Amino acid sequence: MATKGFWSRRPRSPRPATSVGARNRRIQAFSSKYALFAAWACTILIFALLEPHTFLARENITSTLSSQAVLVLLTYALVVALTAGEYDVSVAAVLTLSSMIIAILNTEDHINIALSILAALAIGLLVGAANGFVIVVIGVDSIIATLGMGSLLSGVVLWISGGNTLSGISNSLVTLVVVPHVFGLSLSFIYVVAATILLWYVLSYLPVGRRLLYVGRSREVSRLTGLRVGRLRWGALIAASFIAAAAGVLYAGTTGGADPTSGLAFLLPAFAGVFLGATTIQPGRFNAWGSFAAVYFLVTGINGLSLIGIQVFVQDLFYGAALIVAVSASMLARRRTSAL
Amino acid sequence: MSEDDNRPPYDLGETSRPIFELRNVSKRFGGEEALISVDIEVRGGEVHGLLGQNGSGKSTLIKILSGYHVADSEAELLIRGQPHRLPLPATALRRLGFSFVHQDLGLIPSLSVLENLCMDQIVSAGRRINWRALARYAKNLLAEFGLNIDPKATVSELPPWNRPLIAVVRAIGNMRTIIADAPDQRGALILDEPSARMSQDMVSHLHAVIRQVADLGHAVLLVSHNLDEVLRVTDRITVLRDGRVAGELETAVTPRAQLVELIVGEMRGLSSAPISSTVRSSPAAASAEIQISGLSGASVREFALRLRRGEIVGVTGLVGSGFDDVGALLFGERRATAGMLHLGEHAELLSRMTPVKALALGIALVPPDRLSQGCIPELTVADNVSMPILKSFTTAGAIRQQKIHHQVADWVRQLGVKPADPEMTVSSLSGGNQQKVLLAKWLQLSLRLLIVIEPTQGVDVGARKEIFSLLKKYATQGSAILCCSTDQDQLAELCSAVCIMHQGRLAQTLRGADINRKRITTAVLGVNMEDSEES
Repeated sequence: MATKGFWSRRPRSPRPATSVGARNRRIQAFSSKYALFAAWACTILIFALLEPHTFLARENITSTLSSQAVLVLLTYALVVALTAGEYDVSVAAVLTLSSMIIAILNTEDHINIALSILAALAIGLLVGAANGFVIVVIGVDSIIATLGMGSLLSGVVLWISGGNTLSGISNSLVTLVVVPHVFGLSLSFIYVVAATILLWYVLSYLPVGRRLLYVGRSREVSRLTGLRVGRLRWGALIAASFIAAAAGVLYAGTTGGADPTSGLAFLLPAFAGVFLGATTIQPGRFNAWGSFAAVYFLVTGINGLSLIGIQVFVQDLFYGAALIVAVSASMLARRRTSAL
Repeated sequence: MSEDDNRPPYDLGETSRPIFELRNVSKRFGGEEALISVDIEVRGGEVHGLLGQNGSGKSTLIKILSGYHVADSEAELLIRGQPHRLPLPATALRRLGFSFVHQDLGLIPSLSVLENLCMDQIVSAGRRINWRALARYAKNLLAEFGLNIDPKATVSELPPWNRPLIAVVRAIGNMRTIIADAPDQRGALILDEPSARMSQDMVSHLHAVIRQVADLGHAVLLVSHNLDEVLRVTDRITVLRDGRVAGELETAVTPRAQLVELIVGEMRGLSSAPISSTVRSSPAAASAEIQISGLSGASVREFALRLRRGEIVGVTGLVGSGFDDVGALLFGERRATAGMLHLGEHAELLSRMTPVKALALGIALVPPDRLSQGCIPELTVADNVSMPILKSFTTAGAIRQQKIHHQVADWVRQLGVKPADPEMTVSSLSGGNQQKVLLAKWLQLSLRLLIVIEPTQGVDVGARKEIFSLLKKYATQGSAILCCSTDQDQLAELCSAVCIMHQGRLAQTLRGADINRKRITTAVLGVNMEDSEES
């Protein structure tokens, strides 16, 4: 991964001869950092042996990579919120609302697709601001506030859509999202790679990313160090909703329409991805490349299982188990880094 | 529960009998001796005071009695003459009629007074909780000790100074419920600094309650470093100093000065005691740089102080006197109700102070709790130290991790952090090194005023010395330092002036020749030096 060089760089200054303990620690740190990739490689190997013709087919690979762009982007909404120490469980509802707004404005009200997209993104900002108000100003626990907001937005979606699935979104959006482009990869995958680079840069290199981390780890220490804690938390919640709305735009483009419920199913996989992502690349931290790898690891597993003919419920089983395993693992990773 | 009311008048014959005795209690922590062969005997019907300075071993002794610490092997515990093996489990202690009120009180603020008072009964209830009986019990208990509190009120809604009384009354109730089966038995009530954060009238109410319990024939052990309180309410006193029993006294025949002498030690020759040879800031320095006036808020009332550049001033007092709040209020960590701060020409309303504003004015706070307020323990030294000056590590808006790494590595090496590895997590360092990292975070700035609260709490002797010299060196570079602490040696070592707080107000400011451990201690205890020297 692109971050490897940066994070594994050792200090240039001469260091005293390191003890065996320090050496072991570094080996241990390295192995826990890349354990996910080893698991990923094993998964690929197993399915390649079981289903060599379909699993390794180029179409299967490119379609897997492209089809999960929406999920990856939604995961980034959670990376931002969780880095600042806030749970946002309304992101999937924001995604659904965003895609539904585009569908309604574009197909029923015949509004230009670009304006429809802008409207959907603006709604995302608005929802984030509302979440921030309830969480930061009123002081409601973020998981409760966003749980309520998610349900409220689902209600709004059912209301404005009448419970119907809409289709026939302007072809220009569909073209911009799904048409295969580079090596058979759709543009949506390219967008997601760009988003990953952007998020990685913001979290690793910009002071605002570092400040979000500080606030997420300790509001009290941050406050006493002069950070504007309320603003940062509020900003993170707005950014999370905005990214979720952008994922909704991709979703509308991928399906060419919108339905009132299917987007909600992204919530659990996104949480599984973000927590599993926090066990790799920068263990103990929610990070962009880790989440990227984690989502595709999970998707590889599900893709392989469905190819060998296991039923649909396997998705739920797999994501649910992955979430529990990932959170346990990131808990242990955190404990290990603090014990080092 | 209400059988107590029907008890025959107390038989005075039992008074002199000890309820419990601790003998030959020693305790080492690492290489340091916290207690050295301590004996204490607490009798039925008496209020026994346990006095001593911070670090004299009071809390260690109580924690050994309550089973939290294990004493070195030769220690003995006798309860009503019967030997028991230490440590005694909490349930066994309770069955023997022991009831503790620790400093944190152990109340659950979000529950009602009734639920708090009856916690033991609720926990041990069989099939069904008899709320009506519990309500009656709580009502009677509150009435018996003259507490005008609604049992249905939520504890968090009550004024905070009521809380110690609730905890004490609960402990009394528990003690009596347990020994109710054996009517002639008396219990023991152990109170650890119950009055530290109470207002004056509440303290006298607490004393009345304590007296009432002792008059029923129970033993009360009152841990305190408030001299007035101990003289007012106790019958006998055990004084600890540096882990040893410095004396055991009858309160009625003990002059205050003798008590002070026992607490502080080597009182004679005090007036000729040499002043610590520390280099102090030159008085020739310019006009008062920093002026605080009329500071009120939290427990502080009308505090005023002037500080010069390069000067280290201490603020101290008993726990609850507000000495630590002064620092928190100045930095805006807690909101002041009134007060002005003059920094040279600049004037600032302290009631509008926030940490962001304080830092912009060049004021920083090193909080007492380094792991929950000072540093983020699971992040690295580099992450923590670079926190307040993140901007200075950016090139075209992007952070340069290498620059942070090198600069922090140099800086923590200069401050003597071991190991000086900026990529270690703070939690993996020792206490002293964590404290140095916390100081490193702030000493890299050139501040006008650095506020430190208990800067060497839980730090070993070597690191303590290093921290002293770091602070002194920092002051000579032109910053003023305000050191809020109860550590008299530390204040004597560092400060050119020490403000003594009594009940939120500035009682006295010691300067020059008065800056030594004994003067500070006696001033904190509220003793007039002239009196004690005459005796």
